[in-house]
Order: sequence, then C-alpha cells, then structure tokens
Amino acid sequence: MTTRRRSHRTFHSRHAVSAMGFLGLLVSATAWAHQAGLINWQLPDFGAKPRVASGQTHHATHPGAPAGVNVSYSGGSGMGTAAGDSDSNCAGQLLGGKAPALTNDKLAAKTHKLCYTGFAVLNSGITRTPLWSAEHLTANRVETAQGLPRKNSFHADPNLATDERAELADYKGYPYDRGHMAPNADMPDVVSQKECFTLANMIPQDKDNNEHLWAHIEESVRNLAQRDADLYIVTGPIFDGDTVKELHDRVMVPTKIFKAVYDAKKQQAAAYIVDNAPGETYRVVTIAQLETMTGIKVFPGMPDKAGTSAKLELPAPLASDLIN
Amino acid sequence: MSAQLKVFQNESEVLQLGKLTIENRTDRVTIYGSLDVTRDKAGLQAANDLKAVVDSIVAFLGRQDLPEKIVLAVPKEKKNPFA
Repeated sequence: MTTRRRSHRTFHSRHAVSAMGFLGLLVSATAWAHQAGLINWQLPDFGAKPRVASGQTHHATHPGAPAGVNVSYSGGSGMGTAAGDSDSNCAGQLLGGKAPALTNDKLAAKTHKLCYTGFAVLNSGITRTPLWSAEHLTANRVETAQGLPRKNSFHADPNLATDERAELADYKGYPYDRGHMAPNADMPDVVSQKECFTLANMIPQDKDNNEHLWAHIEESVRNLAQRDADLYIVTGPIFDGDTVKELHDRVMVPTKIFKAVYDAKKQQAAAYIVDNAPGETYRVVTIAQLETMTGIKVFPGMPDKAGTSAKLELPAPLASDLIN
Repeated sequence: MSAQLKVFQNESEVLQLGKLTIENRTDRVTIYGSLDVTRDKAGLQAANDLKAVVDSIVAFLGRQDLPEKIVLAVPKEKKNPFA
C-alpha cells in the first residue's frame, strides 16, 4: 500500500488519508437511530457453545481455525477432559509461562481463561470484558503482521457460556467503540487475526481514546518490539470508583485502561495508564503501582532481578502528553 | 472487490485498508486511521476499495427516511462490584 519506509513517526491518524480529504478524518456516517430499546437478542450460530466451570482454563479456538489447533474444553460440555488451571497451552504468550494473577479476590468471580493462537485472555462473566489480554510480541511477529488483510468480524465468543459473554447487541446503540485489548495489528496470521475480534478481547472504549491516543500507544509498542525484539505485553481495563457505567446492564465500561510491557532484552517493565475518555494524556507506572491500581499481578513470571519497582522507559506515543 | 461491507446492516463486519479501519455498526459506519493512496497499482486498488465503501454508504442512506440526528444510548451507573 505504501512505498515509504516504515518509521516510528509515520502514524498519522489525526491527518488521515492524504488523497482523500473529502472524507474528513473521522467519518461517522450515521443513519437510523437505534435506541437501547431496539435490542435484538439474535445470537450468531457458532455451533457448540460449551459451558465451562468457573476458574477453569479453556484452550479455545475460533470456529474458523484450521484443524490441529489445540482445543480442549473443560466443564460439562462433554467435548474433552477438564484442562485444569494449567497455563501450559497459553504459555507462549505469557512471561515465564505464568498467567497474570488476580490479587483482588473480587475480580475472580466467573472468570475463564481462553488460550488463542496470538493471545491469551481472561474473560470476566461479571464485566463481560477481558480482565487481561496477554501477548508475546517479537520483532519478527510485528513484521509478519504487517500488511495482513482485510475483512474480519467482531463476534461473541463461542467458547464462553452465553450468560457470561458479551454479545454484539450489548454494544449496539452506544457511542463506544469495541476496543481491542490485544490489538489486531499485532496478530501475525489470519487465524490469530480472526480470533482477536472475539468480544472476549474487547472493552467498551471511548471513541476518541481508541482511535487516537490508544492507537498511538499500540503503535509505539510495536515500534519498541521492532527495536528491542522481545516484549511480553498485558493489556486490560481498570474499574475504579464507587460506581461504574454498564451497557444494557451487562457490559461494564472501564474507567481506565492499562498496557504493561516487559522488555525481555532490558529485563525491565512498566505500564501505560490512560483514562477511558477523550484526550491525549497518559501516565507511566511501575508494575508494583499497576498491581495496586488493578488488583492484578500482571507479570508473576518476571525474573526477580527485574524487580517490580524499576521502570522501563516506554516510548511516547505520537501527539500525547505524559503526566507524572 | 470481494471484501465489501453490508453497511448499516450488521454490527460485526470490519474492513482494514492499510491502517484505515472501517467498522460497520447499525447506526454508523466508523472510519478511522490513515491510508497512503500511492501513485501505483496498489494505490488505485486502495482508492477503488474505499470508493466502493463510500458509494455503498451513500446509496444506503439515500434510500432511507433519515432522522435529523441519531440518538445514542446512555449507559446506566451501578455500584462497582470490585471496589
């Protein structure tokens, strides 16, 4: 598509589409009003929807995935033996093979871990969002991910119980974007790209945030992966405050979003934090500070000498303001 | 182009043109990101792909009895279960 050399500063979402100014930048072509009351609870037919027991690991695959992808369902589905709470099938995406650990017990209710080809995710049946989404991002993976096509589909997760997952209809009629936690542009192949459009990998995200600041943070992290070769990333929502917003009394709207990055070459980590709101400001915190804010130990597999208090220098996203 | 969207008719389809993302919703089509339309064959393909999407948006809206402005839902507040 583009002949220029990719550089760290070529992501121009504020000044998009050089030859197509007629579009404006952010076209939200809008049509018929769909009020909250018009919800149609029609579910896509994904075939078997196994119910999984609480706290179980669930090695999932998208219905479109090729044969040979490891699928083992736990719980009473009769589709396989219980996989237990092993991280082994997710291990490729997890630092030290260890999944993030929930230190706030309240988060743990109705959670299920899903292991996809390009990321691992913990779904909450309370929020009907992920609590974290983890990926191992290498320079090679970023290279492979570039230029992948084209058309994909947001979808309810076929590997989650229907009463614990978000449906497309939950987001309908609200101003929010369906914001990826593990980003589409990080996915190295068609299968992982299809899978990352599961709503188990989405939060209701402020449009401006998703399309600008957050897109720039994702791009900056990919650039870091290209420079430093080997990153482990955990991305997720934060629900703080006494009250939270909810779509259709079902999907909780995060107040903040974090992206924690462990640089395996430097053996250092840090996390971006942004409000789930318009604007260009972000913070960078240590992994210890992040745990206090989230109730999640994001990198339990981090080597001791890396420490949770040291802070990796994270690249500044384009058009943003770092606040301390 | 095979990868066309049924604009405004589902909440699922999403199209990627370079770094331009086109997301289909039933009350809006969201277009964001950036795209270099280069002066080469790939550029012509990209321009045609984008034109096909915009043409289908215009055609669809032109057939509708449109309100002045859509009304979006406002989420309710509830007690934070994690606090």
